[in-house]
Amino acid sequence: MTNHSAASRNVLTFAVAAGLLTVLIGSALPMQAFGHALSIESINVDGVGERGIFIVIGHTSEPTFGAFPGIHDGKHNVEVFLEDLDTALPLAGSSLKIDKFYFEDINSFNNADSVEDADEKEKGVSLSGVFGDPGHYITRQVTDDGIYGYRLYGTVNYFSVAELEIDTTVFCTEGGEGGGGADTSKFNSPGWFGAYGCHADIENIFFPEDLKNVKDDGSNGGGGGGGDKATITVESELADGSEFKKYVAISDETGKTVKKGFTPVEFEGKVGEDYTIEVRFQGSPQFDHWEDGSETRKRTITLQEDITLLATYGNDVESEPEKSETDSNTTAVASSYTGQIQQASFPSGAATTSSTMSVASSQAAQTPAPAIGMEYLSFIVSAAVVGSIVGIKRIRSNRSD
Amino acid sequence: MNNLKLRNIRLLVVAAGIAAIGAVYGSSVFASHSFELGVAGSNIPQNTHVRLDGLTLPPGGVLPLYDASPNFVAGHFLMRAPCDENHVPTITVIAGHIDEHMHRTFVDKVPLYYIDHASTAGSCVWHAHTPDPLNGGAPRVTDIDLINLSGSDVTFNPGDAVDINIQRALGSMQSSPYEEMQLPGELTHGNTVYDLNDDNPDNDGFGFIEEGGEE
Repeated sequence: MTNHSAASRNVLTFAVAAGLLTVLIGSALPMQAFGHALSIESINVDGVGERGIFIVIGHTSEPTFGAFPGIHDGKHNVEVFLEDLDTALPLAGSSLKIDKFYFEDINSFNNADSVEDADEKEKGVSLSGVFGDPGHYITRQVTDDGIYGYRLYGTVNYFSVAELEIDTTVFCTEGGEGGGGADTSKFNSPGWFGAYGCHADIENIFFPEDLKNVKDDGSNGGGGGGGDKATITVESELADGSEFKKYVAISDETGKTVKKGFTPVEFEGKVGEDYTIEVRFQGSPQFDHWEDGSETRKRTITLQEDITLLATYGNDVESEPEKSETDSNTTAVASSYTGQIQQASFPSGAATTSSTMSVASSQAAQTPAPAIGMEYLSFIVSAAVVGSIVGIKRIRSNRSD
Repeated sequence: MNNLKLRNIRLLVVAAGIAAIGAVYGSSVFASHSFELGVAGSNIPQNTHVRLDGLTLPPGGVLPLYDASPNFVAGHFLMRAPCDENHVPTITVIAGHIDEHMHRTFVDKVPLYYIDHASTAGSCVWHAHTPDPLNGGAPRVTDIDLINLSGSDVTFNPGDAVDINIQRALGSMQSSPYEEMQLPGELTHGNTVYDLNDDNPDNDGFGFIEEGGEE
């Protein structure tokens, strides 16, 4: 190979690595949409005069929906933007906090005499400046359907030459910026205009209205639509009868996985349809037999009525080919992910709903969705790093030649 | 082969040295202004460089330098040009928005910071920050121009130039139009000039900060 073609290959390697990194970084950046509440405060700057400060508050990723297992993660952070009114230059370095108020529904809101009557409150939450985006402040949260309001307070830093203390409250607006819903402004401080929307019912945007793969409880149930239903329950135990959890996947006639997770797993399917149940290798002991004596890990049944399948595992401890370090790592990462989400949920139940989106087992940390996401990111990062190392080695090699 | 390896090692040493110097300086000095934004993340700023040497602008003559319409932008301005004994440029730097519609046009003179230690051979050097919310000038800048309001020809010296570094778009004139009109012809000669390095603390302008305490 000539140096020229080697150089071209190096460039290509770097380009691929850079492209992968770009995809990774790009996918990590939040999307911004607007539908926010606005307020203008004035500040007197010595020697300069009267200036205006533009305050914007709302949720990320408008329009907002509460966590809906299998459909929407409900992650709508509270974000605040501070700008100089005349120039639109962002105001960085402010020290801001919010008190968060949550009402389950409009009745609860209407019955309240003050924000202190909220169904759930969280006070003194610090807003952090977003790195690389001055004037943008945020606190993360996972949300539920309901009515949200925030008291924003603290010190606004006006280009380090003046400061302004603010203390103002604004609630979301039913129907979003266009309004049209119930009045949720009774606790708002004066001066707010525009609006950030209250959480809408995500089922209103289902099309078709009766999604086949969403059960009433929100899990990725599959088998929706008409017809009689019956439940498949898969359990597992050790040969000595002690409790033992194993990973199970249930797929429909098309081969599509309709339910997966750790035992016990329940799935409501259509009577008369075939479903394949597979208990997977994942650490010892190994699968031994089903309750009816079948020794095949993967079995297909025609669903007629509620059925419980019990998988029995041996007490042996053997190495298994499908167990890998990657599995362990994935579990660890997913556990961490779940923990962080639960800490950030508001109201506190929102993340719990999210973490049970498709898993009935106590080992909810292995919920496939976040685990797959982390594997994807890990792959991208690994590919980018390997690409860069290969490229560097090739350049060194070419120089040595 | 050994020579190549040695060269690679030297390059690594040089790179490490540059990184170390950058780390030290990046965390300490640099006089700045509190309203300067810089680029967002790792974006590369847009740069416009205009050589002025040999150019003569007659009275009333205008040299358009930059136009980002309809977006108003934030960035940094550098100019080397002839100046008087008070370091006021003989040409006038204006910025703002020049609209097709006269009544939506607003421009103002740009407040300049004189850089004495970079000014030589009959020309002065200035920096400016666009926009400058504390020291004046048009608050929303889409256009930057030079205009000769001196009443006589202005001839630029060898090495005279303008460099405009635009780092962010702050918004659109469509949603934030000017509500008052100020045309270039309504302005008078002479930009406001600040100087951080002379003995007069009253002409430092507002918003100047020193990061890290090193001068």
